Amino acid sequence: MKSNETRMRLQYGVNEADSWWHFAVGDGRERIWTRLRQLKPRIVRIFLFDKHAPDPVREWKTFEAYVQAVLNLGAIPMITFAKFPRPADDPRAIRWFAERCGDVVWGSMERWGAEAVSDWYWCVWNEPNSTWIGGGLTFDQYRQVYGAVANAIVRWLRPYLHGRRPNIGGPAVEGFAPFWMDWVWRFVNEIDPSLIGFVNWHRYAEWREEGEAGAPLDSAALRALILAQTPEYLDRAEAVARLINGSGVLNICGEWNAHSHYLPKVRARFNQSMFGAAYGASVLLHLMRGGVDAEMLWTGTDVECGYGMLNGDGEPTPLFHAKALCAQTIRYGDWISFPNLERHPELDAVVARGEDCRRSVFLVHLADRAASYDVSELVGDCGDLRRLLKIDSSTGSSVVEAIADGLIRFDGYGVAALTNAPEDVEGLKFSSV
Amino acid sequence: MGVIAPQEISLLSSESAAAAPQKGQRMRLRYGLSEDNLWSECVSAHDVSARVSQAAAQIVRLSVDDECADSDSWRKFETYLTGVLAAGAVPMVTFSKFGRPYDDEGAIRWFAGCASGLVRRCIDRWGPETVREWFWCLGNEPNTEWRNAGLTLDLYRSLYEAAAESIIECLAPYLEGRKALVGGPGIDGFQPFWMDWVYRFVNEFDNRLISFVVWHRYGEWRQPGDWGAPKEEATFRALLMSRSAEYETRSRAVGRMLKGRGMLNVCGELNAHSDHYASVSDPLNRTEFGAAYYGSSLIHLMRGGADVEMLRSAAPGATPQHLAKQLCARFIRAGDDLAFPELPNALGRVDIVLATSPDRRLSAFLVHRGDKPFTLSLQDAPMLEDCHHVLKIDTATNGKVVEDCFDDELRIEGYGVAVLTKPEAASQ
Repeated sequence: MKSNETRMRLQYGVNEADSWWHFAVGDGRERIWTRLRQLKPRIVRIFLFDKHAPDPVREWKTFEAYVQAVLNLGAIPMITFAKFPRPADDPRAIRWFAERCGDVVWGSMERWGAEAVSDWYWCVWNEPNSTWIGGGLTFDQYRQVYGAVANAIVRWLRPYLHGRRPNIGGPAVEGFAPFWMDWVWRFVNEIDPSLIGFVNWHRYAEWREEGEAGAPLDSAALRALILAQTPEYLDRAEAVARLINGSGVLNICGEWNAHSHYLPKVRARFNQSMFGAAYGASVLLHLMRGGVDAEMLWTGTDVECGYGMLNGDGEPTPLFHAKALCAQTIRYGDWISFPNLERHPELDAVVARGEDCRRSVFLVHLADRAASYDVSELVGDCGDLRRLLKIDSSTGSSVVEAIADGLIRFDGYGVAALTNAPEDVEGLKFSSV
Repeated sequence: MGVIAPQEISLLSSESAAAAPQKGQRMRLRYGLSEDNLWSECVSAHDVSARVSQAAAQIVRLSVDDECADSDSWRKFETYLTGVLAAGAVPMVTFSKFGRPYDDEGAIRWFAGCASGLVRRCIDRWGPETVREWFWCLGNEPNTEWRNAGLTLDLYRSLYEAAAESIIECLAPYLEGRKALVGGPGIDGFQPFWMDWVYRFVNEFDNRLISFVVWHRYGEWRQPGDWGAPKEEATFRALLMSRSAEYETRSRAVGRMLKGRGMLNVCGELNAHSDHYASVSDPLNRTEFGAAYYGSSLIHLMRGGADVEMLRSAAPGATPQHLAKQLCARFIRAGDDLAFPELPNALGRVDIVLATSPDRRLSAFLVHRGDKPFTLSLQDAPMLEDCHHVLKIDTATNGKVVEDCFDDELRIEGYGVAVLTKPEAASQ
C-alpha cells in the first residue's frame, strides 16, 4: 500500500423498482441481466408493498422471479419493506406489518436456504420523512415500526447469524427534506444497535427544472449548478460516518441520481443524457472518497420513468456506460488514490491498483466544452496503460476504445478509463476506433 | 488587526477528506460578532467598546437601513462605530433591506446612492485610511421571505452590482490597488437550496465586485417537540450538539466554490438556536451548553478553512458562551499552526484543536460535547505533556472560568470547554 492509497470499499449496486416487471419477467430480461452484470453489482435494492411490486403471498411466484433475477446477477438483494397503508401509530397495524415482513423472510429461507438468506439486506420503510413517498411519519412512529419489523426479521435469522450483525437497516431517508440528518442521528442513537446493520440515505442534486422555484432559468447554468454539488456526496458520506462512529454499521447511499423532477420527461433530460453520465461518474468518485460502503443508483431498468440506465429491451443510456467503465476498472478491494487535479477543477479522477497487477485510471470531464489533457500531467506515469476507453458526445452514446497516446480529448461532458487490463477481461470489450 | 486576505487551503480535492485536515493548517479564522440591529441600543462608545471586547471580536457586523447617512440614526451609528474602532475591531456594515419594487431602476439607483452616501459620510468622519479597511455587506438573508419577500437571485444581482459599484467608486481612490471589501449575500442557511445562492453569487455576479461571501448557520430554530424535533430535552440537546460539525462541512463546501477567486469565506451569523425569544434561545445559547456548541463550532470552522466567524449574540456579557469565546480567542490566534488530533478514547465526545504559536507556545482548546462528566488523562493526549495549566468553564464552575494545574487528569462536568497551556502563556 502506498501512503496515499486506501482500499476501495464501495460496493456497486442499483435499485430495481418501478420497472421491476421488465427486470424480473419481461421479454428483455436476459438482455437486461447481461448488461447489469457488466456493472458488477453486489447489492440490488428491490421493493415490497409499494411500486406495484408483487404481493409476496398472492403473487409468490412473481416475487420469486423478482428475487431470482437479482441472484442471477450474482448480487445480494436488499428487500425494502416500503410502507403500509394503515395508521402508523396503531400498534395492531404495526404488528400486522411486522408479521408480513417476517413471513417474507421465512418464505425466502424456505425457498433459497437459511444460510444464503441470512446474508441478505432488509431495509425498513422507504423515505419515511417524505410525505410524498413514505407517508410522512414522525421519527417516533418510525422507531416503533422499525423495532417491530427488525425483531420479526431477527426472529427467523438469528440461528443463522452466528453472532453477526443482521443486515437490517433504514431509514432510507429522503435528502431534500429539512433536518433529514436528524433521522440518521436518531436512527443510530435511539434504536437498539443490535438491530442496525446499515444506514441508508438518499441524495438527488435537484428536483426543479429551469426557472422553477428559484432555479436558474438558463439550462447550462442549471447543469453547472448541479455538477458543482456532487462533492456533497462526500460531505454527506462523512457526516453519516461521523454519526456511525466506527460502530461497524454500513454507510449506504441507497438512492442517487442527478434529478428527481416529478415529470419523467424533465428528469430524463438530466439523468439519461451525457450530462447524467458525467454527473454519475463524479458521484461515484465522491462516494469512494467518502468511504461509503455501498451505492445504489436509482435505477437500473426503467420504462418511461426518466431515471434508469436500461430500457425494457436492455438498451443502455450514457450513464450505464459510465458506470460500467467505473465498475470494471475500479473494483472492490483495489488500492485507490485520488490525484491532485486542483489545476483542472473541471476534471476528477481515481487511480486503482489491483492485486493482479491490473492498473486503471478513471476520469470524468465535468464541463460542457471541448478540452484535451496530457494524461501524465494529470496522474503521473501511465506506463503500460495502453487501453483508452471513452464516452462523450463525439462517441455517439457508446464507449469507444483506442490505443492510449498520452492525450485525452473530451468533447464536452465525458467519462474515460485508461487501463492495462487485457482485452479478454469480462465486459471490457467495446467498439474500437 | 492585520489586513485580512483570502487564502487557499489545498487539503480537500486531492486526498480523501476523511483524513484531512489533521495538521499543518495555519489558523486563519478571525473572530467576530454579529449585532444585527442590536447595536442601536448602545448608549455610549465606551459601552460598545466593552461589549466588543467581551466578545473578543475583531470584526463586528451591524445592520443599517438605507437612510442611515441622512437620518437621526447617524448619531447612534457614529457612536457605535467609535466604540468598535476603540476596541480595535473593524465594522462590517450590512445593508439589510432593499427598496421596493426590487426591479425598479429608480429604486435600485436610490439604494446604491444610499450605500455610497453612507460610505462617503464615513470617510468624512473617520478618514479614508480607516474606512477602506471596513467591510460592506449587501444583503441580509435575501433568500428568506421573512426579510426580503419576493426577492429572487436575479433581482438581487441588479441591486448588488449597482450598490457595490457605487461603494467601490467611493473607496477606489484610497485602495492603492487592493480590492474593496464589499460582499454578500448573507444567506439564511435553513432554506432549501441555500447553496445555490453561493454558487450563483460567485459564478454569475461580476467577481470584481465581490471580496467576501457571507453565509449564516444556526443549529436549530425549533423548540423540543415542534415540527418533528425530539420532545425530550436531553435528546434535543444532543442532536443539536451533533450539528456543530456542519460548520466544517459548510465551510468546505463554500470554500470549494470560492477556490481561486480571492474571496473571503465568512460565517456571518452563528449560534446554537435562532429563536428571537430569549426564553427559548438563551438556555441553549448563553449557557454551558451554548459555550460547548459554540466552541465546537469554532473548531469545525477552523477545520473547514473559514476566514471569519461572527457569533450572533443577543447581548454580549459574561455568559459561559462569551467566556468560552474569550478563552479560544486568547489562546488560538491568527497565524498559529493548528492540528486536530483524534483522541481514541474520546471519539465523538470531544473536539480539540492544538495551536502552536510562532514562538512555539503550545495551547489546546478542548470542548466536551456531552452532558455527562468526562475525564481526559495525559495518556489519552500525550502531546499535552508540557501543558501544565488549565482554564475551564463547565457546569460546575458557576459561570466562571476556573484555573488549575493539569498534572495528569482534566475533569469536565458536563458540557464545557477548557484550555490547556503552559503557565507562562496563561499569565500573559
